[in-house]
Amino acid sequence: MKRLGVAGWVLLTLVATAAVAPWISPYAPDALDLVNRRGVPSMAHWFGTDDLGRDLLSRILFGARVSLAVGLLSALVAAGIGIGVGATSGYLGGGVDAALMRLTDAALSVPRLLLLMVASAVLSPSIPVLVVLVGLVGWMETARVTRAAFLAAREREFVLAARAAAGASAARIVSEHLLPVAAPAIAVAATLAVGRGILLESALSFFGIGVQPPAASWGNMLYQAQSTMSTEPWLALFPGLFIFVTVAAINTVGDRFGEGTRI
Amino acid sequence: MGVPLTRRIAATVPLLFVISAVVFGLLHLVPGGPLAVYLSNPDVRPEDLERLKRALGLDQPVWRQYAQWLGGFLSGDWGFSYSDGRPVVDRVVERLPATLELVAASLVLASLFTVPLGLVAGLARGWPARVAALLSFAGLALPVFWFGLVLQLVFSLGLGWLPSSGRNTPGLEGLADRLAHLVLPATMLAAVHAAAWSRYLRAAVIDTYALPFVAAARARGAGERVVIWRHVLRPALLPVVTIVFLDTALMVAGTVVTESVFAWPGLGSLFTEALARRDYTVLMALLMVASTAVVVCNLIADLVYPLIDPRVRT
Repeated sequence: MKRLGVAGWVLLTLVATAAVAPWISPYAPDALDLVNRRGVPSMAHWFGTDDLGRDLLSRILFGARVSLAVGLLSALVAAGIGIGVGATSGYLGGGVDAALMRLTDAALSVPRLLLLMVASAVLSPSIPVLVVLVGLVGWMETARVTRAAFLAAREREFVLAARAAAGASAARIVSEHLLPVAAPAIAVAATLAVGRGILLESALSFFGIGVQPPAASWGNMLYQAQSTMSTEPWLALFPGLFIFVTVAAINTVGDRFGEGTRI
Repeated sequence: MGVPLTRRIAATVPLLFVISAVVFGLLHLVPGGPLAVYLSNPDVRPEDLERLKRALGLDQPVWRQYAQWLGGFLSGDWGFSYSDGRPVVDRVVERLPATLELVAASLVLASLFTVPLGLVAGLARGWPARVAALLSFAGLALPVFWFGLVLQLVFSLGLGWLPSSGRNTPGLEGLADRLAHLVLPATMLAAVHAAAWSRYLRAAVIDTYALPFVAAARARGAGERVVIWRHVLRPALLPVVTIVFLDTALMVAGTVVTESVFAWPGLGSLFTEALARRDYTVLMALLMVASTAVVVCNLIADLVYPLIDPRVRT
């Protein structure tokens, strides 16, 4: 097990803080304090308050749950589809492979933010549906790396031996022999998908078509902050900073995965 | 290279068909279809809805609608905007110059950032290299819209150096005014790409620096400056040029966010406007323009690479 590194610790702290948000958050995320509206950061409200007097720090802590969950779960959806497509393609080869890869090329050619914006605007999704939508535009990289690893490993001796000598079934060869070979590459692709999922969710919410208020996500906090930028800049600064640090930490961890497991 | 070239070009045609069918299907198979926005509107009577459906051809089976759309799209008839009834082609074409201007400026800016960042990160030692590497790494994690807001906050609202929105000051037509409006949005659009490109350049520079011909050049008595600019940077830029072509298309899509933050009147804002009004013909056209840009830029990258790098010429 490699050392966690700064990024790993940052990430772990963020996830832990988000998990215990209800217990450590100084205020309820939707508690109105109409006397202290648009308050500058102070001892009572470290990150200030918004136009309804809600404590920004508390909203960021609760928003972390939404943003991190959407990032992680959408990456899981993406990994699931990507592994399925990539494994089918790489294992079967031939016409199926050609068809699936053409589909992957097509999916990679449509800018995903635009597609997601259309889907999101039309469907006004709940958070679970949003997770699926973000996952649906993020599987292509995983599919490609899975397929590449499968193609490379398919003709290697241990796979041929498993098939010839042991008479292993296709399902068994895929799960016991091919997937472990592809796992490191899949791990890197999936990690990067987490960061991208967080960025996509925040971009959607920034356009007002992602996570809907009163629920807080880092993206929709920015959406609400945009109109009062000149008078209450802190409302825009802090949520964005959290997105930035989180995605940077996730990408760093992904990079280290890549270095540690390069084959 | 005659055969692979024609084959590459031929391969993009079915790709574009698949994309158009998928995107068309997505837009038309959603619950309620393109008219969903009217379903919840109490002022729109069911019989109006039926009439509208017939008028727009939405009562036909989806495949027939698609065939009709495709025929029109290929012959330059992109239909009429649902929101203002004008031809979609006109609406797209009138917004195109603003977006091209923004993308061109971003390409120039991103290249200007990339070369020093990549060189310093790859060749310098100590803290300059670390800072450069950190900057390009950070750029990749940047939420672009937030970066835009911060630029706006610092340089327009705070320091007051640059205008915060639009393409020019109403009534003014000077070049200086246009450029001043261009700086912030172009920087915003350039940042992420400069970050990615400089990481590629850094890796390429490090690899190239270790090659024998660099040592040979130095052994011939070439100065360090000549070695770096001519013998390291030039070959190291080749793979980056490919990425630049690929990313240019992504920049076009990225204008959706940039133009929204800076109220830049290009294709990106047309997309957000069309989305808010559920203007499906315009959305469909813009998605196809963006996807075609990606496919074409991929193709150009493939075709251009042998021209600039003689080693892969066959």
